[in-house]
Amino acid sequence: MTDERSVVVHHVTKVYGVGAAQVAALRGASTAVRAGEFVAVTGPSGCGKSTLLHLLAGLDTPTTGTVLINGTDIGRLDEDARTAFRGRHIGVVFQSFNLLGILTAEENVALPLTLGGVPAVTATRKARAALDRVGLGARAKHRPTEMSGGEQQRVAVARAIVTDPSLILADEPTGNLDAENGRAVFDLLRGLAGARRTVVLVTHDPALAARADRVVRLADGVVVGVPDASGL
Amino acid sequence: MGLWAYTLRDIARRPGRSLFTLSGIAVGAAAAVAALVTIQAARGQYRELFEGLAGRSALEVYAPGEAGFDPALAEPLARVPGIRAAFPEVQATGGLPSWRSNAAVVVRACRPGDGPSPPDGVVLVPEQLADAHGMRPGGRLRLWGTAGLGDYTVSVLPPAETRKAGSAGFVAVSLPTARRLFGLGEQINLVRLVVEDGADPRAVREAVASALPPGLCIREPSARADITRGLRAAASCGLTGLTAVALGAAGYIVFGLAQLNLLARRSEFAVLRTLGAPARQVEGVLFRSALIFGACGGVLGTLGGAVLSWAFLRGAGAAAGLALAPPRLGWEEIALGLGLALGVSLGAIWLPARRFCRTPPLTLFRPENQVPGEPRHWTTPAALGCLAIGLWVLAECATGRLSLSTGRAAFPPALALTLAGLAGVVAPRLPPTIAGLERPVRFVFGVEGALAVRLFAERPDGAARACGVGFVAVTLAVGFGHSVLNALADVRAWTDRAIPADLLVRGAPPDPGFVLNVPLPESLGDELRALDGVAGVDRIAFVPTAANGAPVLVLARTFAPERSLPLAVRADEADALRLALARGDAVLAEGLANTLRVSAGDFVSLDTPLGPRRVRVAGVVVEFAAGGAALYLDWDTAASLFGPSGAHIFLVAAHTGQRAEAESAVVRYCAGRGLSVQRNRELRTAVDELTRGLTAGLWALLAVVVVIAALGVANGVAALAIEQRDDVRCLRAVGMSARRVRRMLRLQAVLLGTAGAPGGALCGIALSLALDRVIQGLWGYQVPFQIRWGVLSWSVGGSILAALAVGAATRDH
Repeated sequence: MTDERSVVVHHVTKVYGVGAAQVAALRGASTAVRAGEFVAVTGPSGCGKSTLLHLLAGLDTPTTGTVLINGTDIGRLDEDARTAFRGRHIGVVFQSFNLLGILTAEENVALPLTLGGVPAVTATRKARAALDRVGLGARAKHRPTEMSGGEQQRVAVARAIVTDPSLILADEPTGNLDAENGRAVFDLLRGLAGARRTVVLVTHDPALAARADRVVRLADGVVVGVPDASGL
Repeated sequence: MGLWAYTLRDIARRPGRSLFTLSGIAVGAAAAVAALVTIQAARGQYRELFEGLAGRSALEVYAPGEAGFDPALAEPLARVPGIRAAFPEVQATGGLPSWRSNAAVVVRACRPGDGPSPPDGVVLVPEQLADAHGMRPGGRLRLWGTAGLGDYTVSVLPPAETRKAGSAGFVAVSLPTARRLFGLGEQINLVRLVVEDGADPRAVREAVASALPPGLCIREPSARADITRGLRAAASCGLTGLTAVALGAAGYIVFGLAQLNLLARRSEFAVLRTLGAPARQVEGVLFRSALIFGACGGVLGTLGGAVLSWAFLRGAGAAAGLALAPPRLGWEEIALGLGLALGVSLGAIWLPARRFCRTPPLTLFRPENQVPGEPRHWTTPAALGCLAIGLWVLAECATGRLSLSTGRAAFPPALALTLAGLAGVVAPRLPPTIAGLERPVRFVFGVEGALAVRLFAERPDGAARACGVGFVAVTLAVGFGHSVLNALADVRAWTDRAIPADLLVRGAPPDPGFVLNVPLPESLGDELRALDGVAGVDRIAFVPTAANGAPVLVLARTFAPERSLPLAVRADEADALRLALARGDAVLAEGLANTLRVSAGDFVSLDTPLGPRRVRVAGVVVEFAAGGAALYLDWDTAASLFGPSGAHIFLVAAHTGQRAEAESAVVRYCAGRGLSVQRNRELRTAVDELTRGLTAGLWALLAVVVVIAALGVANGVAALAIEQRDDVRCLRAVGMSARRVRRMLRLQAVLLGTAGAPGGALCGIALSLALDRVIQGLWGYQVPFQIRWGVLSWSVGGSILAALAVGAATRDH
């Protein structure tokens, strides 16, 4: 079963600050996610959800423990290697969309490909396809400021899938949206999970979390309950 | 969309900031290009004239003081290996009376067949010169020379012939005509040597020098303008200093804007990194941005510099009554403009951004975080190092322990290092100092004042940058302001002492380089003295030669015993100097004494037509003629050493109470003879206008410094405001009104903008004193120091006003 696991988090701790000002955000968290699974990470505020997601995205490194993504211990990679790995294998969706205002929706979506050196024509074609997939093909030439919050988040989702990553990480993607738009974005992400693509979503909304394949609950920096369905 | 398009779009997104950045780079490049073009143009003014007349592959044999010698000396010179031909000539400056304005022209005469040689009694005038003075072929033309005023027929030289002759700045006459005009008898005063193609110029020169009899010398044609070297060197140093200041200011502005830009784009870079862009790719975006700004700023700056130089030369030419050649923009200037612009741009935008780009994306996402890479523990030691090295070099310059050439080359970078070090040492200490004043600030400005102080005390690096720019601006303004105003006051005092005459009579208006001086017959002095109301007439002749091998201008002068000695002596030694001059001693300008490293009692060796002659130095005086490369000799001493040279200026003194009569008689006398008269008050007015112009230029420069400081403070405050976004958000959330937040930010701007003013004023005075000492060590001038309250109050007041303006313009973030 090991080769089916897309994500493995093993006894991970993350400590911020030094000396008396030290704060442990994660205190030995362990979990695993099967390839193609749609997992919701929940827990009270300050329990370490976002920290866990940052570690999974390679935006940060664990103080101790290992984080394996598709078998690669990304905590051991240097900054540039982590960045390159993220560009190839991971798509990230933020709560605050983080679209670039100077670019159109199509250009925002094509950006990861452009940065990866994909020719402009191919990048544009793939970006258009990704926008079509999230239902915004008609809004390709619009800038983020000309779109609603829900539309902006869908563009962010399109940007996350345009490189066809095996793992999509979403940090409170519905946090800035109204209920209707939140449900639409959640459904979109839910639909992305499948045979080859894993989705890990951080949310504090129990109703949304309940619709995930599996829920990983964090409390005080550790995973509570059964860590994963594969018996890690 | 590629990264170039992305970069361009980002530049276009912030048009105001981009325009400021571009302007900063362009202004820096323009200052450098303007300085270089102006220096080159000034250097080329005389060089082109003389090289044009002689040809580029030519040498000249001459007697010091342009004295005459036997033309038979030309024949053996033609046989020296490497010499193709030797042409005996007369070349001297003549005065051209004109309805427009008298002009000094080079009068050239050679044997028929050697060059343009009109018949006796005819003057060949290049068409350009003829048009300028309204001359027509067959018309009459008068020329002043040593022997008097000659009357000739005009023949116009067509442009094609002028080009063949090499220059348009001369008139040609026959050899007999020139000899009569300049009282040379059967002599010539120059042998033009044409060097064979492929010959080694140095070997040829040495061979000719060894074949010359004592009293004759050899030079390249352009060396005739060597007397302007000191003047040019001083101007070059001043312009280089200004350029360094302009570049520093431009760099600082661009750096400030780049910091602001980085702060504003922090989350954007974080997104790029999250999407898989490695650090070097984000760096590449900023590198492209720096390249675009550098290239565009370089092009604009180069063109702007050429325009500035053109305007400056035009203004200077108009002020001096000269038609200066327009500046030329060559590859050297274009390369300098582009190179400096790219250097400033890459140095101020890309280099500081590199650490930023390498910051982990998560850190960039955190809004509450400080600017990444802000704390740099090496800055204070580095600043102390810069300060120590800069002060050490300046001290070496001031004490004369460095050679003059090394010292003059090391002075501008040492000054820049000192200023940078001073700013680096003082600026970081200013925010904690203000923070220590929280109680009084709270007492005066209330809780907003206390919060303002507390908030920027939490961000010492950003606050230090904002304080530092005000500190440097006040230091520069006070330091340079004092030095320039004190030097101008000294120039004015020198004019009063050295030129006490009521009227000055010349053949043509003065040439600021003392290269083209119209000689007039000495007998004119007697005629002038006989006019109504005239009490006495002194004569001055400018004789170019060399002292201890260095080019100097001998100021041969009569010193009327009944009047006080017209020399700007520092101490009460006038009587002793008068006696020494009468005895045959020389009195040296401070600058020359410093260059030759001699003082009273030493001897200098003067090149004369009789060979080198040792002359004792009687004393040292303030003298600015020829950039300070001048020495005084009594008229008779100079005549015995250099032969009769004619007088270049007659200084006419009127009897007490008869100035109007004398003036009227002299003006009438000169009008009939085509002589130029300048009243003393006109000279004073000209000097006053010059000093007023320079003073106005200084104030304009100080205004620019204050504006740049204001921009710097504005940048710093804006950057701080971005950093304080979360704090401001909290303050608003707990009920602080937008008006009170605005007031707090304004107070920050005012406090940061004015924090550097007191220290800057003190350091500025110290800087001025240091500059004076270094100028004395390198150029020999002792500039008397005097506190300039106007500069002090304007600089400090200007910085406070600028800070208030920045504060008033601060928006609620």
